Amino acid sequence: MKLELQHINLSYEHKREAQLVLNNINLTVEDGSFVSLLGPSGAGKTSLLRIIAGLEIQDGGSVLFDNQAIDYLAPHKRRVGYVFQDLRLFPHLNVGENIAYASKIAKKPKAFREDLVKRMLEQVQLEAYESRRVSQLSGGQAQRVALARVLASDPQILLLDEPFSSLDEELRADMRGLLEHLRCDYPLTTIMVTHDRAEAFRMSDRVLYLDKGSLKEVYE
Amino acid sequence: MRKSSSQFFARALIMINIIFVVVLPLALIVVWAFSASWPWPHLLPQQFSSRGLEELFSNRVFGGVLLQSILIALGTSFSATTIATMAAHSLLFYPSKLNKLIRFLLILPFLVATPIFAMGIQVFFLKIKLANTVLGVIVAHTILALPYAAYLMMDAYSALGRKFFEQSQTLGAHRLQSFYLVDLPLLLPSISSALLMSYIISFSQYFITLLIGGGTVQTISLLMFPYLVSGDRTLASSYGLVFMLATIAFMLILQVISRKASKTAALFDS
Repeated sequence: MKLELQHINLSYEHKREAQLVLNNINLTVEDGSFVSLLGPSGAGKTSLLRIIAGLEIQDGGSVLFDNQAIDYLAPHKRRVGYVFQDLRLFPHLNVGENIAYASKIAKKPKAFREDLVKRMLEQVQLEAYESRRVSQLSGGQAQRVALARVLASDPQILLLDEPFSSLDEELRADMRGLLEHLRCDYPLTTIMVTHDRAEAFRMSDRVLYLDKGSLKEVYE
Repeated sequence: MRKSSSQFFARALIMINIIFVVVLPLALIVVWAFSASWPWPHLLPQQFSSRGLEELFSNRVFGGVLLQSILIALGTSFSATTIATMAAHSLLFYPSKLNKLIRFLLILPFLVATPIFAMGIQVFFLKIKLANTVLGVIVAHTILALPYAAYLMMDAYSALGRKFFEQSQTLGAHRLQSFYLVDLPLLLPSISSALLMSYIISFSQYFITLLIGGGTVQTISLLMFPYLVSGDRTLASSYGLVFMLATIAFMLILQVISRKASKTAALFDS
């Protein structure tokens, strides 16, 4: 799915003064391409992802999926998969239930859900973890489950907000490998926020830099 | 070593406190309910009798009043907790300049003395024909219980935050599904506390029930009060015993429901 951002503006009120976070952002991400978003903390990277997911409403401008404006579409109708920085695995559900959540919402039959959970756990190499509580997972395992859950929701666009930030270097390399492998099976339009420049260039078709509300293309 | 002995003393002190402030007064009620005579300065009752419970159960209105008290308390409990949960949800999800005012209004019944508050409600309820009705009593109790339930739910919601709700939405669940499948199970311990707190507040109301119910709406507190005033401790304690059992039973039922609901795997079985 092609994603377009047209003249996106966003400001927050801080101490009764409007602070500009995103200033006339224009971006086109072609269907299936992988874009990384670099930038200092507080630059508005997460806000941009939240606008695409529909969790935040921009002050001005428009978000388009395949040339259709979706500004008034509720988050649950956008089919945007979002892996948050803090993963947000549901603590009251086990691993399998977390992965099956979206298909349960979509009222898929039980056999379909069981098969989906099995397939996704195989993809992220956690076959024996279906009944585990999420509190029993290590950081790397939780990342894998979060990825599996979002891919199981059959999204059209994938947003990754610093997905490997809490992992050590060895696990980051593992997860990068896994994500690259999954991209072959799920060639989704993806935007990944990261602080790691090398990671961005290694994984992405394009790298962008967001600072002081403006977006710039970065070349190696 | 020093740490463990200070811990031991701290625990012992807490236990002694609990025994003197909670257990002993409640135990006294139980003993009084079965006492025929307990004159001063005797440490224990001199005669035991089942007169209190016999009179209580031979009272023809007792069963109906007990049922009405439970229904009023349940109505209060569910309405106060529902309003508190909705208010807490709105305060978290819809930040507004009015939020401070809404918080203040939610605790206002707690700040105003009950008799003043009750008089205001009574005048208003007389105008809208809610005075002297069970519904009127439930609404009045709900207003009184709301600050307690609201504070419990606001604390719980601010600890939970929006994160799981948002994650649920991005996985395809609409707002109601996100609340029902994610926020509700995670908030269940606080919801149980709010339900229990509101139930107890309603069950213990005397003045406001008398004023709004106008004597036509009877509750256990209203039945018990004359015996307390007249000094018939045996009968008053018998009512107190029923009072305690009704509250403990509600608490146990809530615990069972909470435990069953927290095993939300059932939601995903079908």
